[in-house]
Amino acid sequence: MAGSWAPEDFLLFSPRAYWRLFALENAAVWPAQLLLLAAGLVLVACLLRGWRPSGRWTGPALGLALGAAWLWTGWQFVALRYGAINWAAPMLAWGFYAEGALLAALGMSGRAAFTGRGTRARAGIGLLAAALFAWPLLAPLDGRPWQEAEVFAIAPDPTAIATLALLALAPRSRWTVPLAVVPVLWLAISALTLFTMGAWQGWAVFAALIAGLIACTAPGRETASGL
Amino acid sequence: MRVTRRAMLAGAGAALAAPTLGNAAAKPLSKRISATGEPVPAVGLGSWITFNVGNDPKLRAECRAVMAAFFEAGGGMIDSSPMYGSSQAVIGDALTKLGRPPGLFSADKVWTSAANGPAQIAETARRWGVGRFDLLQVHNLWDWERNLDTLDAMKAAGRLRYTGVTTSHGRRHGELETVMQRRPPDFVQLTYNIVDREAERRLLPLARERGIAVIANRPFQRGRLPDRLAGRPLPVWASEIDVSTWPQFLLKFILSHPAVTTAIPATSRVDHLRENKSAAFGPMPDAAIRRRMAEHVRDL
Ligand SMILES: NC(=O)c1ccc[n+]([C@@H]2O[C@H](COP(=O)([O-])OP(=O)(O)OC[C@H]3O[C@@H](n4cnc5c(N)ncnc54)[C@H](OP(=O)(O)O)[C@@H]3O)[C@@H](O)[C@H]2O)c1
Repeated sequence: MAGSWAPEDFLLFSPRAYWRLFALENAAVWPAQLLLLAAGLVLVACLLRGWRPSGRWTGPALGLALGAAWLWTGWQFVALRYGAINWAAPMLAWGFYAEGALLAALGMSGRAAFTGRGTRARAGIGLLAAALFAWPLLAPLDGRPWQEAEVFAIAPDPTAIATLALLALAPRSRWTVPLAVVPVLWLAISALTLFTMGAWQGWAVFAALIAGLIACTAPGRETASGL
Repeated sequence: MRVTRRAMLAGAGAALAAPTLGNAAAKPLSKRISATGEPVPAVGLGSWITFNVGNDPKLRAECRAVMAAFFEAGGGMIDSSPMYGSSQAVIGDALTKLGRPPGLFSADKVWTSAANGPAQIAETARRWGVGRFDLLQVHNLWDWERNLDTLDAMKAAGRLRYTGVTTSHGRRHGELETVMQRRPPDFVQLTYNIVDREAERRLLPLARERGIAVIANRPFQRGRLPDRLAGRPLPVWASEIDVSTWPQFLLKFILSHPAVTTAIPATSRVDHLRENKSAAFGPMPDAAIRRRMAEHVRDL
């Protein structure tokens, strides 16, 4: 009706142009996906067997790797790919750079440790597995080609979900909330965008956002001071 | 109801080349720009969303195919804006690759404060690869008085052919009316389609009175109208105005308003482009049939 706006009136691009961004980015970094999925598989298997990245090397290394994933995704996907069809995206990318810098700084300072145990940590591992292995399946489940699969450290949604998951594995500290702000905001924006596009994936992102928020802010059994 | 020849010609309004009954498919409808009498094809092409495909080579090729079909069908106005993401660059790229075909009426907008206007216009021209735009419009009345100063100065210096002001979704019609009264540009662009008919009350009559050309945007309500009507049978009398599809029905309703100069449906599909262009052929509905068309869609 004239004079009234519908949410989709604010969408700048078609769903097709949006989903194709993942195909283009995947093609550009292939076969990095295989390495990332293999590394993810090893990490989740080790976590399930009780290993926790901490100490002098593994905790900080994971923090650094996570920081690098945010910097890369923010630059390559959000600013460059998404920025080509959404002029607001390069501004959103600054959030990714901030998150990446903070994670990298904490990693380098040697303060990153993912030593959580108990329910909160188990929820974190479950969410991490979803981010790493369920998110790439969303494209084929939607009837779209594999080339459009969303992979951690390449696509922003699984990167943000994996970050909330790893925060749930780290003992709560004064860094937990500041580190959760950008992933939560991004996932909220992403869910809204997907809902506006009429894409059911919006519900998946929304569910992951709620699960991540609960998991990383819930009190847990802590074995060391963490991230 | 039968369509009389008189009704048909009356509906064509300011048409330059109203098709005749015997030769209905010969020439598409074009209308005259009030300010100069220059003819412009009645069906143009929008670019919001459909042409915002970034750097994707596959989708860019699809947009190029749509534009190629547009020029094959006679060309006309292509409308864009700095607000439409990569659309301007996609249009410019396609124009270059198509060898800058004849028949383009380039229309873009200024969508910023007047202080930034000239820089934005220069960037817009660079993206299109054009030296001089046929039409530049103040997008959604943004800083309209001062932006119109810029456009008027460009026109006076021979760096622009026509000036315009846009609005959409039936918003800010009061303010647009003020612009049309106080400082009539060559063109106004507003939302007009078979269900969003607010403009009929004041703006369209005023445009005729003041000699302002009218661009109808959102002719399909951003695709909602063809979606809603798809699968429903057309009224039997539609064949009398040479209408065989709903999009033709919707476009003929708009084009036959005497104040409307051009409608700018956007599409990402060559078949839709051809269908839209075909609405400019054949007899146009007169006032009585237009009323019937609107009532029919309202009652569905
Ligand atoms: N303030 C302003 O200045 C302003 C505001 C709004 C719009 N505009 C201009 O006006 C243009 C038109 O408005 P719009 O793009 O919002 O909406 P529109 O032209 O009413 O609708 C476009 C939609 O209609 C579908 N469509 C086109 N031809 C069709 C056909 N033959 N059969 C079925 N579906 C068809 C297209 O889908 P397919 O791609 O599948 O064909 C597209 O999704 C814009 O592109 C823009 O240039 C300007």
